Amino acid sequence: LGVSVALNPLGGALAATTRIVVLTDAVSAEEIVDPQEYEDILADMKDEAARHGLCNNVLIPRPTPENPNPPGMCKVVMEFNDVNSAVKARNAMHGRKFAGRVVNATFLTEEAYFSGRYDG
Amino acid sequence: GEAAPRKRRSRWEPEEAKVIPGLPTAITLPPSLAHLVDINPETLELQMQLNTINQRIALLQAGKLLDDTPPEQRSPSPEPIYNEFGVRLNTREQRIREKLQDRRTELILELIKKNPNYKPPADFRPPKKTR
Repeated sequence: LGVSVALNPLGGALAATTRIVVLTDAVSAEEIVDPQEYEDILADMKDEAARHGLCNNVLIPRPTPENPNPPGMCKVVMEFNDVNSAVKARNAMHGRKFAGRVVNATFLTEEAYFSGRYDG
Repeated sequence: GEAAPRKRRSRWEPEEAKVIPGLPTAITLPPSLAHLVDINPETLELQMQLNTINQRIALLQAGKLLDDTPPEQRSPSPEPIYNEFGVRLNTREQRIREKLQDRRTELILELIKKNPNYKPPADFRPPKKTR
């Protein structure tokens, strides 16, 4: 499946690293319902992702009238081209502030990503 | 025509914000302290096992080390050994203590071998070679 496991110095296993990075606590529902803010945030995320490697796609699931609570709502899902870039990006973004909020960055399995289960 | 791309400030906190001016980003410990910091996962694991053994030895000394193996599952006790005063030498506690001490010695020897900076505990005596 192309999943490797990062070991922390204490020997315990962290979440398996994949090409897919998920940010939580980065955006709020109020921000992304505003079309202009949504575009700005998407651009910020794409620019930042590109600094760490080739990023194929950035998704920010937002509420629509048909689906007010889509999977991965208020998360930022980044698909990188390779695991290395994803790990670099994850480490750079985790714990860093976005719009004043401390971002939490984790990995999502490709399986969950490609089946649209952005909540893991 | 197309509007010129307006200069937008990213909402990401600048990465430099994490660096405190005037402080070095990497801290190098003086050699006198370096041995206290061990990031080798292998020796850390040994150290953790050693801590567990030390805890169990302390519990045993306090008479609080519980063995919850049901009596019918325990292996038969060895023949008792008595000293010249008729005091039994190989009691359950004594046998457990010996086992823990042996494991402790093994772990310390392993740590000495793997980490040149490792300082064995003050009460550690290398075992006498038996031939």
